[in-house]
Amino acid sequence: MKNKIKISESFSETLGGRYRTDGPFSGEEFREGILYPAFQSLKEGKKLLIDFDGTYGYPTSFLEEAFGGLVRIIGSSIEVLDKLEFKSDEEPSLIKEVIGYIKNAKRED
Amino acid sequence: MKKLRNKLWMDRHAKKKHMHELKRSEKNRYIYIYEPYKKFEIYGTEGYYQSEKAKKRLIRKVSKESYDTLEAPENFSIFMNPEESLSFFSDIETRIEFGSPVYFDMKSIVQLSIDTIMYFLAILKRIKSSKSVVYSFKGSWPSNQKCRDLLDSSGFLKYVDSGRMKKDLSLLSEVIQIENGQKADNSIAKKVCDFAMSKLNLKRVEIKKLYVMIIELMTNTKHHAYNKARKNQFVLTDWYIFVRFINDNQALRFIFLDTGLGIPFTVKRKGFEPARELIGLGPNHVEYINSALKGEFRSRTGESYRGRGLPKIYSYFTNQYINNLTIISNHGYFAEDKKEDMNKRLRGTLFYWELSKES
Repeated sequence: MKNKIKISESFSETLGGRYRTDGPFSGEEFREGILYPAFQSLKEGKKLLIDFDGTYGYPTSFLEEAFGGLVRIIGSSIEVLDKLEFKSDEEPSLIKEVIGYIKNAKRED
Repeated sequence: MKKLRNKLWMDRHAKKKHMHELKRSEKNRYIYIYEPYKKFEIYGTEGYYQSEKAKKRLIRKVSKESYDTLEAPENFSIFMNPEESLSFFSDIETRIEFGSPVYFDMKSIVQLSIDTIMYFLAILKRIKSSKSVVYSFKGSWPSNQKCRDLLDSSGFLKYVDSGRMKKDLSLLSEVIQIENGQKADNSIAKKVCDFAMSKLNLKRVEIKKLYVMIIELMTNTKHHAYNKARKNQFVLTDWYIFVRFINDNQALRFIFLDTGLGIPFTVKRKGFEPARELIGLGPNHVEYINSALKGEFRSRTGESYRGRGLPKIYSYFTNQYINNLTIISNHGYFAEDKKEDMNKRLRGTLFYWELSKES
């Protein structure tokens, strides 16, 4: 059975800002509560599918903190990209945007 | 003897009561002004502080009859008449800082806009939050009926104590009245998007960019009020949003106010800009706004993964998803056909944009 997170169902259809202090349903809350635990529990060779459809939209700060933040914790953008798959029928350009955040997340180290 | 003792007691008690009532009536006739917060400005950032002793120091008392009357300009709109409108607000703040009660004379206004109402609310809120100044202000409503209707429909009465009767606005379907907050509020953003979908007959996929824009602006309000804070300093950061549907051109008009420090004060300086500013040859504020919109690395945190909100909003404008984007921040006035610095300053940032069905 494929590991999957549909953000609009597992988290919220109306997303917030970057940090918990910014308000509800932040990128930090999503990463800590849902994304990171799911990522950590992946078995060898398995991938995690992230489904972006069904929400009102994805603020840049939410996406960057969720996925870029994941890279900053894991320490490797390659490892993150290897284990994640993305689905976004409503907004196909979102996938490229998220991949960009993942690739650029390590710049500060 | 007993009679004498009782009389003396009664006299003393009556005198005490009389003094107490005298004090109370005097108190009611006056406004007591305590030492206000002191303002400071360092490297372009500003704030307020107040020492513990100053909090208790009474400066003076002012008779309630001696209000300073300030007359609002006839064209009371920050976007259309920025210099005069901002000058009026600057006068209010100066008087409040000195503890003078103010009377806002709005009778002669013939043109009024929502951005001005929002900014007015922000100033009133800032005054109310001041811990030392016991403020007092009164005002008159505009004589012009159109302006009065605009004040009613804006939601202004939700935020002020007024003798004016609140009209039943539940049937008002063409606006989302002024909403206010400090954090990113996804429920308000959803409400605005649902309104846009119903008025412009759009699908949810088509308002995603609008949702992103609103959350980014709300989040920016909270983040970019950062400054090199001293103890006891405060910077009130709120956002306000208003939306109106214009039936004639089937478009929505949005106004968003952020009462932080403003884009020019919060973006990171590059190269020789700090030195140039010190000698008065620094970039104009509108140049800082332009630079921040174009994503030239300006995040005040220095982190390259931050500071993407404004460039995203600007890309929606350049790709014609939104129209007529106008931004006023501190002295900078940024619009498609006008990019210049004003003499007067707006505290914070004001955004205006339109969304139509054809976008």
